[in-house]
Amino acid sequence: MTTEIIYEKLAAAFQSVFDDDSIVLTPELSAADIDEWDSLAHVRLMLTIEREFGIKFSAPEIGRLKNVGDLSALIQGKVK
Amino acid sequence: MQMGSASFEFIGFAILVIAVFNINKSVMWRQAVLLAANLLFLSFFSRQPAVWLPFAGFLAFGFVSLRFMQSGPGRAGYIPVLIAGIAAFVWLKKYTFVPGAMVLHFPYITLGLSYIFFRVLHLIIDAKNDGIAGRVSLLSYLNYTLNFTTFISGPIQRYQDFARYQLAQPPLELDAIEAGKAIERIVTGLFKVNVLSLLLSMQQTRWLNTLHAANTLNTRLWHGVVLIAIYPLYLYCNFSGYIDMVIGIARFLRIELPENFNRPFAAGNFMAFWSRWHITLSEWLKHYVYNPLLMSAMRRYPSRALEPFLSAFAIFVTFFLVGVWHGQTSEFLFFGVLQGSGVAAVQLYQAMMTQKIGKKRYKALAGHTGYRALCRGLTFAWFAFTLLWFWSNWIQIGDFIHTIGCPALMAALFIIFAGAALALELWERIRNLALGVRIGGDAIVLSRYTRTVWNTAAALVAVAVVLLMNAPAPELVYKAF
Repeated sequence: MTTEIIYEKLAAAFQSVFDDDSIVLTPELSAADIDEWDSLAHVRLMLTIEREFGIKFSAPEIGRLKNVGDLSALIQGKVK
Repeated sequence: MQMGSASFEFIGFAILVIAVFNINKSVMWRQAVLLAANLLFLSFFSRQPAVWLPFAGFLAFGFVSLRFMQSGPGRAGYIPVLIAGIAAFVWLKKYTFVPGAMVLHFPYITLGLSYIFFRVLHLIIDAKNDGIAGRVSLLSYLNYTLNFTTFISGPIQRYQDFARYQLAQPPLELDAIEAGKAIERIVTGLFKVNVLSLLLSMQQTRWLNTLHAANTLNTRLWHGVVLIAIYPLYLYCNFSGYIDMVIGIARFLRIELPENFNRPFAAGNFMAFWSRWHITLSEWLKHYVYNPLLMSAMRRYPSRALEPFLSAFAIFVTFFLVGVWHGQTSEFLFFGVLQGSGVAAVQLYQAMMTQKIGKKRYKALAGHTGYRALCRGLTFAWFAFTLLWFWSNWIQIGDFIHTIGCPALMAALFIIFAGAALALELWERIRNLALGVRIGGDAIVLSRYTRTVWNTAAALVAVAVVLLMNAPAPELVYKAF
């Protein structure tokens, strides 16, 4: 799966979870940049992404994520 | 020797290690010196091999389990290994529910075991999930688990971050600016522990000593206010001061330790407070307890309406464990219940407010100065109240409440809430004002000159206080855990 497609699908997941169509994803985007991105929203986001890409995350994988770039790389590794 | 505190002996030991460590930049030298320093550090607590046996057994269990998880077939034993690790910790720490007949009946050392427990579990979990690149050598494992800078009170660093610095070739750069910043951290920590926490602890002892002599409503009320409000400030100076010191020391050992505090009393609610206080513990529990627990619950019950309740439940369990980790008695269990209830209540309140007035209006309300100040006051008052179960036992708490009386206790809590709201708001304003005074784009209070003056003064005061008091450095509260 190409990075463009991953970002496209990720953007849809972010917009749905945060109920905000104006969110634009960049590799540097992190929880500090979105007010509503708290612990609950984070888990909700991960589950939405799991469903969207048909993959599963482990707790350490989620714990290691620092920004959207890390998330995209993690998905890339799983959907290969 | 006072190695388990922010003493001059500890600083002297650290200076010696730093000098030898930086003689050679090779990874092998740095690892060997750090291991020798760690073992020497441990030897200050006891040189009798027998008292270290259970501790060594736990470390050996951790290493074998880690290797087991890093080998493919060993992963089948993941859950039994995790359960065995938790059971071994509970057993060695002699939790009250462990039958007396089962515990070891000879003296042994458990100092630092709580922090090693978190490191070992993290290694096992991450190794099982391919989170650790390459095999962890025994040398790296021992240096990671026994690192003398984080042995007593944390912070809990991830192995991947530790290894990134420890195994880096060349080592992390240490120029004059970085060295200066590290010295600043050490001085700030020394000042917080040896001056501020000492003075606050002396005040607390003084007010405790006069508690039973308080015979008017007014004196009982002020005893309630001071005794409840002073402890969180003391704990903050004591704990964060030591962390400042070890962050500074570790920087000279070419390791960057994670921050453990981020102005916790500026937090706007109790949930935010725990993301600013003992950050590495909260983060550990978030990654390894809250996230998996909530993910599993949300997979099982996929309903948006249920999510805040499931999250509140996961939060409660997580922060209950924070309390349980702190100690083996029923007081700490109750402390955990209060922490869990506080954070879960915030989660439910936020969900309820968002539903009732909408996301935008709630966001506007949360950003309102007065509302924010009141929330800060409430957060401080709740934390200070819950700490009663942290520094006292049931009998002492009963005696304290009986002596000052319920009405005075209620009034004291209200005064702490209102006083904290005002004082913390005032502090935020002064801070912002001070940061706003700039020359050439840089805040004057953060300039090199101001910091040099402040650190020189802090160092002089700390040395003067230690010499004048001629008493041992204050005990580190978190050394007990």
